[in-house]
Amino acid sequence: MRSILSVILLAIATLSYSQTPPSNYSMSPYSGPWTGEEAGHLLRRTLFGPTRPQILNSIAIGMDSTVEQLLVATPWTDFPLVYQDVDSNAAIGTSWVSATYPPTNKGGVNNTRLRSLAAWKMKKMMEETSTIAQKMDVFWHNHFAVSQPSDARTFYDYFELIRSHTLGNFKTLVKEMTIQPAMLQFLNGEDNVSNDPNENYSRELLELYSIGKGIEIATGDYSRYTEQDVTEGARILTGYSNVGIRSETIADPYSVFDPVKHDNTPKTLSYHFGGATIMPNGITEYEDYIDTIFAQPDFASFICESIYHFFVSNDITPTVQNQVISEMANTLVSNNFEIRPVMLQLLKSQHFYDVALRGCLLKSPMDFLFSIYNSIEAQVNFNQVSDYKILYKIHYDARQFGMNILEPPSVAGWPAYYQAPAFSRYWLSAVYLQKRYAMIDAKILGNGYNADGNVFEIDGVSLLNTLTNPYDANAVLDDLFEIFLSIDVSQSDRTMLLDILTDGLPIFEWTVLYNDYLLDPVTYGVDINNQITNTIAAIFKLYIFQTL
Amino acid sequence: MCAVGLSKFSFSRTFKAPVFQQAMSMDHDRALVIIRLNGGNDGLNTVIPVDQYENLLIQRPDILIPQSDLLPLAGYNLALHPKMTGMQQLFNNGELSIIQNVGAEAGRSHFRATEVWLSGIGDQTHPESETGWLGRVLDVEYPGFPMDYPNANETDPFAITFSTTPSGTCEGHEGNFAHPVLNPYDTSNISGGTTPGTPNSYAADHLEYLQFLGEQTNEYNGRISDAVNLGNSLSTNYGTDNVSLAMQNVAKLISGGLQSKIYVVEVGGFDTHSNQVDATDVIEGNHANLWEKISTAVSAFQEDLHLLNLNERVMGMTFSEFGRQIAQNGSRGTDHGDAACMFLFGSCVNEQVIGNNPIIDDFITNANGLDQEIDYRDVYSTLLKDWFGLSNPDIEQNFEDYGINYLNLLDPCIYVGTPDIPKEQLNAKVYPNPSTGTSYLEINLPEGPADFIMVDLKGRLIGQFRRTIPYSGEHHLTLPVEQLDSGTYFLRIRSNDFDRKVRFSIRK
Repeated sequence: MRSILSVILLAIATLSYSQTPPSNYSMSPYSGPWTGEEAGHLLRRTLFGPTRPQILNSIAIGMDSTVEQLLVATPWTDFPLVYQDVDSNAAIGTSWVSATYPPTNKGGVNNTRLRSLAAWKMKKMMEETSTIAQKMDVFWHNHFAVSQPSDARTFYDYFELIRSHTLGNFKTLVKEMTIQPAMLQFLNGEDNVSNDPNENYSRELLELYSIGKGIEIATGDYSRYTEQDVTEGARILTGYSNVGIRSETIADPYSVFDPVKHDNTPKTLSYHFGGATIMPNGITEYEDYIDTIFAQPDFASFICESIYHFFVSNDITPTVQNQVISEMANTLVSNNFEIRPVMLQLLKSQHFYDVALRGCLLKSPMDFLFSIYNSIEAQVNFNQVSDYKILYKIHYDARQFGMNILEPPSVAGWPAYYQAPAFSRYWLSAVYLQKRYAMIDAKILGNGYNADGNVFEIDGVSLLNTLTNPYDANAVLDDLFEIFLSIDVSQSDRTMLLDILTDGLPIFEWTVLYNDYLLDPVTYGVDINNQITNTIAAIFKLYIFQTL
Repeated sequence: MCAVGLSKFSFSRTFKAPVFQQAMSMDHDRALVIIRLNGGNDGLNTVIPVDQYENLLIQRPDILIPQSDLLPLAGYNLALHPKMTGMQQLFNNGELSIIQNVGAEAGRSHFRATEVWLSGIGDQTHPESETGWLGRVLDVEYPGFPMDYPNANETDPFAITFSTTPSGTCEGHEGNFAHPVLNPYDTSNISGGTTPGTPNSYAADHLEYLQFLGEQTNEYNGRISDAVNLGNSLSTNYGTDNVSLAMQNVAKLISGGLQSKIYVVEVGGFDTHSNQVDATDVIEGNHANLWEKISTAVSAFQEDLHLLNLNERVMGMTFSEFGRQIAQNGSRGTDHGDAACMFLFGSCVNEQVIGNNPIIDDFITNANGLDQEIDYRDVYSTLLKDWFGLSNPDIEQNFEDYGINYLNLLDPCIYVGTPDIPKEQLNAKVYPNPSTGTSYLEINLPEGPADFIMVDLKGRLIGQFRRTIPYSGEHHLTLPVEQLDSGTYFLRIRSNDFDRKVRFSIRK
């Protein structure tokens, strides 16, 4: 028996659980108020921890000039240096990036070189604090997520390649990355030969590095490419290999093309590329292929979504897709795949400054660490060996928090940048949260980073002396919040922090203490340093400090 | 944000939330240990079909292990990798099952294939595809998670992951049911203030999450610390690596009284495009090392469970996002493939081998993987049914009405709980699902009063109503859901005689 019994079963209350989305999706230039809030937002998203002078300067010069000044990336003028006495071909204090490998203990030497590279990357994080370059570099490292190769020199070259195009041409970067020695090794391009193709790089070139994988609309058909393209692409890419890996005679490894190992027959791509045939073209055949990939109409949205996820928000709604991503994609294509115009448009857009996006990302380990150290202009500056040891320990903490700059967790990079629905919450699992707290206890409240008796720690008093009105406990807090926090603190947290700053005493006692300190720094320096350091540490433990 | 405007339909105070307080199952003390082989395990170098050996030699001349070195499995034309002596022993003891040629037809991308294996849903556009197959089960059982947990009744984490982040298998709609732990002996307390952020903002959502995560972490860590210190481990055959350490900690936590139902151990390194085997000795190499660790850990764990008298409470399972291609590549490795074997381990496994040996051709077809014989959801579904005691309709719903082919995996100890209300007879479903507008409930109801209760994922009551059903039979009821936001909801239909929950989604 079958009947239709139509009844009103349930009274429905219209409930809204979702967050308020941005209201402004315009990519036209922002022209609203330019205060510490807007400037702070821009600088937090483009630097690893702005300083108070940087925020004040941005307020003074305005958005246009700030963005223009941020969008600069210059080549490096120094090299990572040896700091451990293992490398018989490179003395402590010299660069290893063009040093051959000794005949013995190549693995040990390589490890010390990789450690030096990690430490040096941290050094650059703390030195290059006025432009977007470092953040763009991390974006690309996540995009082309290469893990530590067997020859550290190729890894330095890889980072140098990223830096040379970090605000430059995406297509050029993909082409050069395709035959970069560290990449050739990482995704087995060096093993990809005509009689025995290896698909590893071919697959990731499409899926992760260029056009991106869409929904599988039929078996082996990923909307923008198919398994046929993976297989044919592998054949196109055959013939490249590395020369000089861990060589005792060659100072700089490089990649070479061997026509004998190259598949010299035509390759036919799927209908997504119009069934295009890539004709045999030897050493530059891969460039023809990449040109074909980049020419696909739906090419640009994938990379623009990645940029949006990294710099703006995890929530790509249909509206964002239609109004923001599509505009970015148009800009990318009409500028022949130059990245800087896309970033310029994005960072100046009305959408970017929509208040709903304030604090909508959670800090990566690098954001967490350097929003502590860079924001107070801390520099590791003892001697080269001790500096590198300390910088390596900072790297090790980032690694403990889930961001090993030498070894992204997979070829897709760090899940916080791509994996729905959690995205940046990946940075703050129960384990990672405990580790961040443990670091604050050990390094901010405890004994800092130590090497050879040199201690790198927060200088709370120096920071205090740069604030607007160090005599006034409330004014001190206001300045600290402006430096460290992306959104306003609650009254109860403010009360808690004031209590820490004043050590539980009435507020005027802080003023008395600061006066005493100015008159007698030796006697009162310890107290005032404890109180300001305890306060900063408590700010670092706030959940709002974890938002970006 | 509680339901408003319900006054004219309010009829009874007995239906106050939590409406699903009578959890139907999983309130027993069984546990499932999942070992995830991250990267795509080469099944053909793990369980070797020896009747195909000649053709395997054609396909993989440089990496195939000499037949004389393989560990034979008595009674079968199968052998294990030489490093898997511990698991061979388990097999001989009847405590290891091999399920052959399991696949998910999820393609050869690590990320997409992993998502499919974690979620149990192959359609990427389906709203449930971002949740985990166990997370969805737990969501039905424990609505309101995470915000209402832990509580006086449920003090322990529902799942434990031995990694820095929780496993995607346990991703629920509102939170992940897995609590990540690296070292149960070393946990610490979190307290990060109370700033709420601007209401309804993305930031406020993060802050609510972090504040909650901190409190939950502190409570769960307290329980974990208690359990691991109370617990015991009696086997001396564990290794010293992380796999053994994690498995030993599972034994300690269970013996220490932790009521977690799921333990996930992550093992990476299976993406063996190159140097899968050593250049000079194919028995050695990266793949060999991985299986030596796992085999040692699993066999010591099983021994431990016997010594602790816990062996009938624990089942184990391995899975990987895909197998690898039949033919080797040029780098003493193998590229991404398709189906592969899975293992089940425990005292409750039934048949030693499920499925047939794959057929290996005598010629190389470029990029061929193994054909799928068994759907991965059949393995999941059978565990849910026979190990955790879920009812067939609930399992079918969990996999979006995929036509399940239940397997004969653990006959000796099929879960027999309190006799369930015969949910099958209600034959309830919401259609279309997901719905963009009007939805209907199709249900076979007996004559008499029935209550209809709708809640959202957080367990919040949306509405409730009682109707007297005029006659027994199939009914089609209109659900006025036009005003609901996009999302997932539960509809519970119950009376004195039956109790059924149906999940449905609105997509606008």
